[in-house]
Amino acid sequence: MFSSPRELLDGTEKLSSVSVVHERLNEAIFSQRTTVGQITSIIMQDAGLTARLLRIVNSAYFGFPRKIDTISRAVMVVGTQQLHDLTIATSIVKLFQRIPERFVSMGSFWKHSVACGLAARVIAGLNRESNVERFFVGGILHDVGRLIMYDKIPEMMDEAFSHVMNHPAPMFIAEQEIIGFDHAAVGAALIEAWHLPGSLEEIVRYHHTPQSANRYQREASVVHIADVIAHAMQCGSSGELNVPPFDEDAWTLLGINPGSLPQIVDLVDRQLEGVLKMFHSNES
Amino acid sequence: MRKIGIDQLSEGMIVDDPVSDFHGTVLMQKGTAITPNGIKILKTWGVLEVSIDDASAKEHSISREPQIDPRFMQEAKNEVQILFQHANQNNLFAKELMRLATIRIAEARSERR
Repeated sequence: MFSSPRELLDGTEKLSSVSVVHERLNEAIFSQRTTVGQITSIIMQDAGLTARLLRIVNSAYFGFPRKIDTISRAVMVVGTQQLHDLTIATSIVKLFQRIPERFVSMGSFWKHSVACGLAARVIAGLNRESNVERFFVGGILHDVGRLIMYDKIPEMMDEAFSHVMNHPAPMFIAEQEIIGFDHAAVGAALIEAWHLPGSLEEIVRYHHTPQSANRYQREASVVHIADVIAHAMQCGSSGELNVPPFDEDAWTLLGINPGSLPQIVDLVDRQLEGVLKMFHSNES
Repeated sequence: MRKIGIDQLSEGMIVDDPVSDFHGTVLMQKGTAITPNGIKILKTWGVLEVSIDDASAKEHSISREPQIDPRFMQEAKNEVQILFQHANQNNLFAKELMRLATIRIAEARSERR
């Protein structure tokens, strides 16, 4: 029996190069004296990352009118903070490739994650939040705890699945009942272990309960709503079969009205395939 | 008088009941003629339905929602009920999301067959 989400991690945090890249970049970004040149050279030490970032900034996702052919130009146009967050996003894809497809297809899991990330980015954009990429990454990561649970405690997850078959309930409630904590807590522990920003930790921890967030209630509310939308659109799944219960106060807090839903859904639909492709041709 | 979805409004229709936004502020008085700009304003404020007087509704034949076989619509409605079984359905967000999900599922089904 595992008594805390942290115990589950046990080495999993090393699965990806997220923390290494992140720490070097983070140091550079938060130091007052860093130049564009220094950030450029950190990124360029990793040829794969360089190629991925250039592909992303040149994709329809950003829609810049002219081709961006160097990292230093990308740093200037996209901004260091956003480029940093995109770096995290590109590193996460690797995590999804390692987990066996026993419970859900990884394609479906990844699609749900990206759809949620895109919806979060669209909502953040409509609300004129700064750094919309933070929301995109938060959306992509919101269910990351489930990857670890499928990997480390498959029998308990089996039990949770049969529990929701017999007693209709959302999957995260079944996880709490059977394991003692849910994928949101496991995901948050992973984000902490990676030393990613506190906003991402709260987004993941509170994506089912945004009212409980401390410092980042707006961020958690955006991803909460984005998750509901991704489920309603039936864009992939991480194991949850139905639309999770949602918090009306989150909509009120953000001042989103129901009339903007068709627009949000439409924007996600139009970007989804492109973004999935953008990350897929990634293994180079 | 009949209620018409925001996407089916067309220019020249006459509003038959004052239109209010989410907070109750009146956006259009009874008797107002719909204009393209008016539709934009209604969308901006999140209005989903408007009451239109019968005569003008007939005159401007309503472009119906994409023609979907009612059989598919009914199947989709049932599926959406299951999809939203854990959500609180008694609010505008849930209603609009369920409407969008129903059309989405029904369209997918009618394309498949």
